[in-house]
Amino acid sequence: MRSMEKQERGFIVLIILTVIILALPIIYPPFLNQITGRATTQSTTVSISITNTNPVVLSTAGINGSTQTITEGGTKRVTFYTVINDDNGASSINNVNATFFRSGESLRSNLSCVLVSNLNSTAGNFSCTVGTLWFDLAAIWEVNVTANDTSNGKTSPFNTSFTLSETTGMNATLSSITFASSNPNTFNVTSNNDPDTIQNTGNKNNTQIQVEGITLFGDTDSGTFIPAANFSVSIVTGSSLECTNVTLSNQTTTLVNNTLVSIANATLGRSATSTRDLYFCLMHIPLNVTAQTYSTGGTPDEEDWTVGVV
Amino acid sequence: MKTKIISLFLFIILIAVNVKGFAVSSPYWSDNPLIMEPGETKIVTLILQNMVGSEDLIAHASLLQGSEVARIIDSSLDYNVPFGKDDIKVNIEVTIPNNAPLESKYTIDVNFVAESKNKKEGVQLNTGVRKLIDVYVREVPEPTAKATEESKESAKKTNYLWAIILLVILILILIWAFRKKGEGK
Repeated sequence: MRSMEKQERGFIVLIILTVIILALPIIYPPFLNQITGRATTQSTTVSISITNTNPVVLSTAGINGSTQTITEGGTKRVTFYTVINDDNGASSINNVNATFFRSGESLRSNLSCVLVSNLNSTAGNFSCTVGTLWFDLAAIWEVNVTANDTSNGKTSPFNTSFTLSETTGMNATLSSITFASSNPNTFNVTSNNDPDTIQNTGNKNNTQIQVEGITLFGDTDSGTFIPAANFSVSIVTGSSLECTNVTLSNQTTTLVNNTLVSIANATLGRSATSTRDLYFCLMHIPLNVTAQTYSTGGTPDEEDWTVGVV
Repeated sequence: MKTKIISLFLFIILIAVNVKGFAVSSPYWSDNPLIMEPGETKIVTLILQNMVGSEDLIAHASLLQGSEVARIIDSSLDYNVPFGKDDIKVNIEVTIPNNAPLESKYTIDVNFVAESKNKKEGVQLNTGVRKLIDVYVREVPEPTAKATEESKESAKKTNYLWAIILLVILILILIWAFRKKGEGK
């Protein structure tokens, strides 16, 4: 009987011990490490002789968190400064590189930043200039700076970033668009000197080309006119395809007086060679117009037409 | 007969187009919209460039959309953009009404029409660029310290849960043990 009581008491003690062991990792987290055989720590002396100290990028200035813009149709040179320290002496800093990185975009780099001045015996201030091209993505770009010393020691990666803003731009190639002499009530007179080639000179993708036409009154006798709606614009040509009444409306766009209208399928991608050719058509010369020049000049002096992008 | 006489005249329409490169830069675009709180005012600066063409331009600015929250605050809406310049600033003041509902959106549509300073005979074709800026009305998020606090709270709750489970197990075992003891007697 006594031995049974003894057994039960032992059993209860065992249970309590189990609970305490389970609770211990919560109360004292390192306990788990100690009972799972993790190696105990021990102090020891290690002696290694290092002959060179790697350079360190201490800072960058003029680029961190800044907003930069591209230059339309060209290269924008972005200059910033970086301070490199080398405990072996500033003169041992051999080469400083800077890159602009954005996933999916071409890497932009300056493989040899220029020493502006030594700040003290171990640190130098370097100027880095990296070119961004006009079609580089509008986004946050990462700036990486690295340096080598004369013993080929390298800096740890040093990163910062800037925002490249979005630029919408265009360039048109033609200086004039002309239509051949025609009689009243003539249909589908196509321009005889187009296309007007529009280039995307910015970094906005899928830029839409728009045209605003203005009704043309006679330059000497404003009693007759050619409505803007008699003109159409298209990116297709041949067999008068640029005329709305010849081709499908989703390929060619009729102009609306004094209103910017998007030209069908006339979008410009974001690339170095993104261009679209525009073809103009005078779909119908009204029967009642008098023989004279019709333009936005003369009297009255109408508003000019606009070819634009959005 | 009348038609024949008219046909003797040349019927010419000349649309003179100057080669003009023109661009507008904005710090905000569809992937990077402007976020403001109700009652807040900000100045947004657009940059005009004339780097590709060959002549000086005058760019006329107008708001096609968004005048309920935005206005161009420069003294003139006609901007001289000489050839070779890429830093002509256009300042737009954006003010969100105090009663603007959160998550509402405004679109500011700024239209620039650039024309040559040197007007020629005939008809000119101007260059246009439109910039769209989306403005979202939102509360500025709390600092990340709040997130850290939440994470600490969550860890605390987990620890309490474990402690309660262990306590319940202990009580159940003790009850079982005492019952066993009672049965033995």
